Amino acid sequence: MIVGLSCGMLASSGCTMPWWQIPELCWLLLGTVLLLGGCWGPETLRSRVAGVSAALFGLMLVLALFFWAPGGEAFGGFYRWDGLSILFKRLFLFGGFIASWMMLRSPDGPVAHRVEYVALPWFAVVAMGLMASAGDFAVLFVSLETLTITSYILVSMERDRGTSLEAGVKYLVMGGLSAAFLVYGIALLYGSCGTLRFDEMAGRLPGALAGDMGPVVRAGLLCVMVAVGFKVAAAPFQWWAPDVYQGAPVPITGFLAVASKAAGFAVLLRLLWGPFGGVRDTLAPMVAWLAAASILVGNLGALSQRNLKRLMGYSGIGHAGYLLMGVAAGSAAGVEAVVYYLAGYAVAALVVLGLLGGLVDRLGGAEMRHLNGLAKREPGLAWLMLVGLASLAGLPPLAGFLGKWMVFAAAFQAGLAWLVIVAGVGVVASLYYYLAPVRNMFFESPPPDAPPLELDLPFRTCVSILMGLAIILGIAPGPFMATIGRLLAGL
Amino acid sequence: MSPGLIHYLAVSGALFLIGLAGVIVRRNIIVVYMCLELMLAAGILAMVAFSRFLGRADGQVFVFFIITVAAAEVAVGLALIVALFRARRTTRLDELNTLRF
Amino acid sequence: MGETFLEWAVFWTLAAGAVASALMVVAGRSPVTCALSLACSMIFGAGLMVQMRAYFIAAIQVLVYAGAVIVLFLFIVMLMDLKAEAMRRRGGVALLAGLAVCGPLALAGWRAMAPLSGGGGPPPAPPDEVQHIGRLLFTDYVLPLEITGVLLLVAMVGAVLLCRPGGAGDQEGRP
Repeated sequence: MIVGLSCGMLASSGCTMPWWQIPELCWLLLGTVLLLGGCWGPETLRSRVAGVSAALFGLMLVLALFFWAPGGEAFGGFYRWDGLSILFKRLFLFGGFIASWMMLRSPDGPVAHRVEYVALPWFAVVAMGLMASAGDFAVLFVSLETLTITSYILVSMERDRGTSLEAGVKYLVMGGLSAAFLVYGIALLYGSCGTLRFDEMAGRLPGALAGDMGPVVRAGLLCVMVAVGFKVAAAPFQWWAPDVYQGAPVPITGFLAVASKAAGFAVLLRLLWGPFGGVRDTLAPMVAWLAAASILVGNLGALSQRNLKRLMGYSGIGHAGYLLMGVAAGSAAGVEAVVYYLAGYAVAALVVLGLLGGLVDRLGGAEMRHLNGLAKREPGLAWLMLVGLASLAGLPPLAGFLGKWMVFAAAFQAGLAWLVIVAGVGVVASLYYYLAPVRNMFFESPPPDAPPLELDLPFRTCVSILMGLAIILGIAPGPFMATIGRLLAGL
Repeated sequence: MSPGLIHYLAVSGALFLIGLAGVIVRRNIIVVYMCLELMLAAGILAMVAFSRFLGRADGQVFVFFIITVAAAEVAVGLALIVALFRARRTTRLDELNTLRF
Repeated sequence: MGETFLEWAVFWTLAAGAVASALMVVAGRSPVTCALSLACSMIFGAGLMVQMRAYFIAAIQVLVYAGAVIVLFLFIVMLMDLKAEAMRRRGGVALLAGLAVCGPLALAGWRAMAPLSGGGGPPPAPPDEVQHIGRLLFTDYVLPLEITGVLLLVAMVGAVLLCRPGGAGDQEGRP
């Protein structure tokens, strides 16, 4: 119905890119069909809805990788179809693909058969895609809130585990605060520039900052940055992340860690290289401080964690810090490094969380002691996990190493040597906690009555491919970097 | 001279800060959520004030979206709180401490 | 002169009412008090909007916010049968934290707004402003409007999903 409504009305608004070519429309259609088909469709579809969803995500990803070319805008500039949005949309699709693949696993899980569980990531990906393409604060705000609300539901979906609901409520408070700051910040910026459009604001903001309205502009920028800080889980707005990562179902943890974080950075880059472009130098020190705080809080907080999901939450804060370093550098090299880092982080985090998602039922939990002796029970899986953790820690020759290297180099060139030193401390700390599960896997003996670990072939293949990507991205980043450079050329 | 932009903004700023203080101070989830709504309402007031004093209508269109989003968010948020209350019999944030290590 | 005085009197009444009821939301012991104070604050805010001659937004603020949202809050509070909150043991610490965050922010806000001083009401509203808003909503702002459709769909699905009885964690739904 919504799609039908949109078809009728959008046709009248003039656009340089036909409105029906917007991929989000197609994703929305697919999500709705999955939702309705899963509820009232034939039994054959209902029992395979997760598989269908994963296949469709894969198809969309292939289309996105091979057929998308940048250029143009729609809805009179409200929707931007440029290189930055394309890169991020690919990342979102990738996150959705892996998350729905992970949902295929654990068929006896309590929510695995819920059709909403499978369909809602589609709506989340639609919202993320629109966020990355936003050309106006109204689009940005509405799509960001759509993503937030979808995330509440996904996080708290495993109602019979109390922790899931608890995580949902914490996410709710965080989302509400973030929304309030965003609204207030947008109001102040609107008041000082007299427009909500990104392109117009880019021209007026530097003048407004220098003029009478300077303090109002500052307050507005601060509020918007706080809201984005909440979204990417940067310290000091990070307190929700470990709880939510731990409480959410594992595929959703993966989805949030990868796609939602990427969406936050898409917004940050879109703002800093869009409406805030003229005042980027004013904001750069603030981003640098956020980066330093996140690196320290995330990596030091992770040191004492014994639950692997919670560990990923804390380390996710640290990774947000490294990514913010690339943003703070303020250069094209910095942005390229951020995109590369996000891709590398996505692959490695999904290896770890994917394995965890596949095994958590058999292992009995996500605590580190549950991994004891994994190398003796399933050597292949233990090695996969090792590669994922090593890439997250930033060991060569994996993607994590190269990403950190590029981000650090960009920050150093921008004169942020102190930040690089802080990041070095973070990396050293992260070596300790990323290698702790390795000790459990390789040097502890398995529990005596351990049941056999059955992991089906498609799942193994998926994780192995992810691991392969982590290695290929690290060894031969050439083609990948060329694509990034080409797509970000006009930034 | 009638009340100017700054006066309306001052009221809105006061509401925002009172709401923020409430989010920090209060421990009942429902009351915290009300304080969040107060912050949003403060944002709406500021937006309307700017829109009217600039003489542009697009600010009011944006407010329309804020109100819609807030209503939807409250529906989902309260559903979540009710589900939590059924499972745990509590609405206090400081009793939500299962997720510690 | 008389008219200006009246305008100021109305402004101060509404502003004081909005702030006082907002304080009641934060300070109120019982959630019902909080919800009703919130409704009052919203209505006073709508009054300020009327004074700025933003009639349409004032109307939907009262209808949607004070009317629907707060009533929803009240329903939930009644449904859960929440008792008045006992005084917190560590109330002082939280109060200090609240002051520590909000005090500097208030100071900074005051400084930020100082250069904007000066009165003078808003320019007169054009008579067809509501039409103008409607036209903007369905032409320039049609994309966010469509996204709002997605948002409402998701919210509907989510609210049903989260509150549908029958989950294992649902103690009331258990046989």
